[in-house]
Amino acid sequence: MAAAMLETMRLTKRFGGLFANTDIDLAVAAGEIRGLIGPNGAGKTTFINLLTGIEEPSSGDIRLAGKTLLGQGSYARARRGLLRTFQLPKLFRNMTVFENLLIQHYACGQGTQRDARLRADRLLEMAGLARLRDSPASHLSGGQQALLQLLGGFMVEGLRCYLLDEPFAGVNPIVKDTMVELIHQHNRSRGITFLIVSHEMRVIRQLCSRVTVLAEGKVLIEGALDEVTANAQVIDAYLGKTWS
Amino acid sequence: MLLGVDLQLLSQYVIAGLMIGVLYALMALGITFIYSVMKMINWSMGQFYMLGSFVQYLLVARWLGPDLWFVALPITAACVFVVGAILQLVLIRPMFTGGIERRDEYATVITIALLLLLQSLATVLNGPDEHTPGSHLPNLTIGTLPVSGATLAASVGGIVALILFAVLLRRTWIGLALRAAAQSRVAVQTAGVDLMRLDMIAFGTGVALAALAGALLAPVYLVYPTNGAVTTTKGFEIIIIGGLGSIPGALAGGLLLGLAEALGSVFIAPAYQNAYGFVLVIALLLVRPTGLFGERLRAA
Amino acid sequence: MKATTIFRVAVALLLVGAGCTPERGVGAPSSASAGGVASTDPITIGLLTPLSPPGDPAGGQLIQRGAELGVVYVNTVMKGVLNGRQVQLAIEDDAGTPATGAAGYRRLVTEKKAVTVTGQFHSSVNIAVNEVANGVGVPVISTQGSAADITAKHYPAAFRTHVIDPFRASSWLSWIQQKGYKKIALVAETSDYGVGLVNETKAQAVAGNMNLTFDIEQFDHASTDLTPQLLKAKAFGPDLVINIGVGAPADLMLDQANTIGLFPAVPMLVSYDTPTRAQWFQLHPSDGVGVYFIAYFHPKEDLSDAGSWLATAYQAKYNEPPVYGALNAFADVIVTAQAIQKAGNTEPKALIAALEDPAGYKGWAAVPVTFPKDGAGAFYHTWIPPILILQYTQPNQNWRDAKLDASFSKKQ
Repeated sequence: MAAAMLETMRLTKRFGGLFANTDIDLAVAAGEIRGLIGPNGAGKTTFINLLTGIEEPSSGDIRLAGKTLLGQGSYARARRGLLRTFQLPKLFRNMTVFENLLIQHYACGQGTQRDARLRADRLLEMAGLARLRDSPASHLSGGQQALLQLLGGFMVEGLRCYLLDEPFAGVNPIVKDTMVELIHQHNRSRGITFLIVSHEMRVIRQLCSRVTVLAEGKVLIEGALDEVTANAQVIDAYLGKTWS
Repeated sequence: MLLGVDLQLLSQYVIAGLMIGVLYALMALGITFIYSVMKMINWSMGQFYMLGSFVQYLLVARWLGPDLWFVALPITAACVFVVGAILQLVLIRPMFTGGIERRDEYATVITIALLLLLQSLATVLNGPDEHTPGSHLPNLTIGTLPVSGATLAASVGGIVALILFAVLLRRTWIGLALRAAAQSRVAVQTAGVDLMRLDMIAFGTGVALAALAGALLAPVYLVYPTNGAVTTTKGFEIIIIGGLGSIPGALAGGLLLGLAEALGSVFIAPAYQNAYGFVLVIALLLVRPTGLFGERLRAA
Repeated sequence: MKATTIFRVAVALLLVGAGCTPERGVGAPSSASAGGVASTDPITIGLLTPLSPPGDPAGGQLIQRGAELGVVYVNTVMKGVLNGRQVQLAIEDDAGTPATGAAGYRRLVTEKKAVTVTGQFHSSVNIAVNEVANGVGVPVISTQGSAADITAKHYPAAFRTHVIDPFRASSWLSWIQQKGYKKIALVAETSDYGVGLVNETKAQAVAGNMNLTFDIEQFDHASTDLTPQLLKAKAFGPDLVINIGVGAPADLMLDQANTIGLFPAVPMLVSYDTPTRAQWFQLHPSDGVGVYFIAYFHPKEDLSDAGSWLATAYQAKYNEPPVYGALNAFADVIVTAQAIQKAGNTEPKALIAALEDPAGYKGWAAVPVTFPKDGAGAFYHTWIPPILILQYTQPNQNWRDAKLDASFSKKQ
């Protein structure tokens, strides 16, 4: 079995009396593309925030390639190779598409600036955004912004684990296909591990061999997508019946 | 004659107003730049103007002499940059690294306390004396307005500083990071930028701009502990006029303020010179509350 | 965590530092006697003066210098008061704000047991403090407050050692008449000092049928750019510009008038004695010559022996001759000491009666300091030094060598 790239042990987050995440144990193997699904309010985004250091856990541990991430701020985790995208793309709207990618290099890229520029152009080429290179990011459509956000992580040579939070929401099918293709490519050629939060079952099926189902802040079940979606408890959770 | 005012007098006022507007803009730029990156207002900006004027005076009077004033300028800016960065590190950074709730209130309290501290220190250490670094630049006439060489040098120096700043922001990697942080602190941190270090640089740069204004004006407006008061007020007026967090706003606001004061002085009375800015501020707040170039504040 | 601890310590230090305004006490160490005052305890004189904005710290600091040397003089030369008791100074910063000044006066009187309070610089503060003093009774000797109301209300506790606006205005109007100037530009700050002088000058010119025309230009004391005002004044075509700024504005006005060609083409009179300071020709190496200015004693005239003592001590300590504010503050302290000697005790009513003694007391000038009880209007309880108008004729000239153009004194 491949060594775990990303692990959480009994990860818990309380906001006052509300338990957003309870005792989550998760292990994503190196090179795996894992899906994270579940009904709204299940705690998926909180979980991602805990992984990237935007929130501090109430208890539990997070490990990247075996080393704990507790005590490390967001930027330190990024430098260790853990990056994420946001549901509402967090781009630098008044900067050009090209500059948005360069920032990622400035932040935690290795290699020369010249290499970074070449890589950025190559990525834009691959994504079909080359003609928008010098346009402000605010001029992009929603789908193009999601795509650009995705490219940001690929700028980083040291990227080991990429967390994607609803990357396909509101994205048209053509862009969606491009994104899927990019994810596959980078997974195969660079061995990058992915954890993808999404509602889009079709895409999850294309990408993920295993999914983890979260409901009411706890892990409900893990397995292949078809197994999991046939599970009665999972169906109940999605339909809103209480799960005990 | 225009509206009962002598055209020559009017042109003199306008030229004088625009020249000083450049230096106001420099002050405002410092304030707005710190705000745009750190999302906090540094109320002690005027003290850094004062500090810049003192450092420039000491450098010129003790070692370089008035002819090398332009050599002293970048040294002054660098010194105050370092002071600002250290103050930021010790007093302000802890607000951002967790453990301190109510960050905005702390920023206000800390920077006002800093204002008082620097003011008191300067008063006690300096005593009741004024100083000037002196200037050997000859007086000349612009249009119909006689100006001192030092005033012209200050305006030109201010423009150069603004251009250099624009180049820094647009063409360097650190400028790229600063612009990104101004747009989204969360995104830039998630991307892996060391935001704490960036904040230090932003603060140091902002106060260095104020110090540059003080250094440029040292031979014109003299060097003494309370010389920063008026420029601070003007700086904040410009922020409101131009929009908080907007760099073109700071420039436009600075020139507009200089112009408003000039026109008010010549058409109404020079006695209320400092009040015309406020009139402009109120007018802007009524018509366009976010300022000429300001954006509505979005959450995160 | 370590970072937040350092931060909290730094914040605490910062707030403490910010709260500390520049003050020191001078003189014998204070004895913390809660109960009765022993007959060897030092006597406290209160100094209430601006040491931070929005007040004018430069003005206050010069006063503080004089007062501190006054205490030294009393303790070493006069050998103390009332059988060798030392005097000491308790200092409060009034920050140029009436409410702060009033609170400072109360603290000096109730906590520090000050027997008189002196050092006032800002008229607005002085007036507020005198209201409190009228109720409390401990006398206030104004060092540099020039508004009429400071003594015009005839409060028994209100005293002043300073030129008042009416006298300054009448002096320079007489001089203007001598010189034959007809068009006068008054460029004045909007403080009580500036406004008072402008009003007095205009009123007395009219009352004296002098047929003068005035151009009044005003500015805020904190302003640094006076060019708009000076351009207007220049357009008026004056025969004389009177520079009514205190501190930095006085210097800025000269520089900017020089730049636009107003001075030296048009003569300028500076309204007080700031040109006598050593910094004058450092600040104005090329344009400081030709300026008319006011001084308060004849440069060749002997000071009193106390005044000479001060001049020597001040020069040694601060590398320049004492300015008027320091001279007056010095006098306020030593006059207080002499009044205590005459009264034989420090009770407010006895002190007031002693201060009113027509024989007067030694001050810094050759003429003694008297506080006439029968002074009319603002001349009540006010000692006024002479006014001299001098002119610098050479660069880097010592003020004592400046040309004497006119002198005026108020017979009391």
